[in-house]
Amino acid sequence: MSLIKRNPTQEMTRWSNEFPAFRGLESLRRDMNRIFDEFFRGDVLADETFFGRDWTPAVDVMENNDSYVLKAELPGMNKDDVKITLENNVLTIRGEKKNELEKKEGNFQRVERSYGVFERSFTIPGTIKSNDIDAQYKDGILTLTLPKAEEAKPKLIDVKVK
Amino acid sequence: MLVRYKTFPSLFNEIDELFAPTYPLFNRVRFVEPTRGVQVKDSGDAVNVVVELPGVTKEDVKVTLHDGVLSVVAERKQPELKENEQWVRNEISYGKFERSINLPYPVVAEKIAASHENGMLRITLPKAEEAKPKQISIR
Amino acid sequence: MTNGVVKGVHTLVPAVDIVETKNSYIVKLDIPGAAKDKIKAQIEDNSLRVSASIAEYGESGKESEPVKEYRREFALANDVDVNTIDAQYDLGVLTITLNKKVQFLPKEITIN
Repeated sequence: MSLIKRNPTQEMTRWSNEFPAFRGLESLRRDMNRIFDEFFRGDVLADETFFGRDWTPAVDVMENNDSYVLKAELPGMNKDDVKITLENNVLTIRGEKKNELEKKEGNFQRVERSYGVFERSFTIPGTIKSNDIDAQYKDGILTLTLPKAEEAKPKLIDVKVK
Repeated sequence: MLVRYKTFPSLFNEIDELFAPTYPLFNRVRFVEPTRGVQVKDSGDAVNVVVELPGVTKEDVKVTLHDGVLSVVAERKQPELKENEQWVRNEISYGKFERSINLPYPVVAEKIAASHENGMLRITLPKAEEAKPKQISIR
Repeated sequence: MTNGVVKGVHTLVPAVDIVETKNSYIVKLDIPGAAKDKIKAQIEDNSLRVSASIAEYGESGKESEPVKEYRREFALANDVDVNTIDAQYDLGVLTITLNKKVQFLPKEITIN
């Protein structure tokens, strides 16, 4: 595979042209960028990694008043094979879906399901309660709930010099 | 004896160079030379020397007087970065600082007082009796 | 906070050291000769503003009008938690500790 770092935005646009499933995310991304750009620097829940993996699970991101909710399609996996980390304001979901076909004998006609390593990263747009992130894996869907934190942004803070 | 007051133009010029540049307010990027200013003042009965020594502990300052020359030697220790630490910016210079000042008057060595507070070394050197200003009354 | 420059006062930019640690940024500013209550550190619009006025050098105890003023401003990255800032003044050095927001620190999330 190519190791050239791709432009995520271009990639995203191209992908959403090819795959209808990505269109939703793309338009959401655009909307959220429009809303948040003035307040938060950088992209909002923008996908950061687009290479270095065998397949890409489809992800929906929603925002409601209290939280950001991220749903990833990870069918047929063991939850221990999924790792979720938060670092430097970037949420990363990575894991590996083992190829069960290799173990089987006989000829098969069709391989449509994806296997192998995957990784997706998202930049969190606002302040969240990072200790209260909830992750559930059920029926092949990983649901992450990131509760928003009421960020106290006083106009002026006087720092006391001790 | 009437001692003519010596001025120390060279010293004052140097102070100007150190203090005078007017940087734009709230400059974000400009590198700044450490302003280790030295000021020498004549207060009539004494010579006052002030040396800026931020970040230097009392133990790392040495003041000596020899043959009318006041020497200040100080050392500001380089901070050591621990693991997981990295420089974002390093403008402060560390290491040895040495400055010698030719005193314009004879002073009373036994009465020299020095204090070190808020990164400022202040030395008061009382002038010798013959160097003090005198008013001569006209009869 | 004074906006203009006071007449006859030298405005100086204090030299700064900034060290990034795992959890914080440590900002050190050389501001020799300031009285603690004459140092101002403020957060406004995601900027850290530091200013200090220095009175005339002289025999201790005698304070004159300010003769020097130190000023510097830093734009803060959005990983800084502006609500937990600490400032200490010692040996003429102002040390400001800016903690990083928790969501910028490494963390693993377990799946339920």
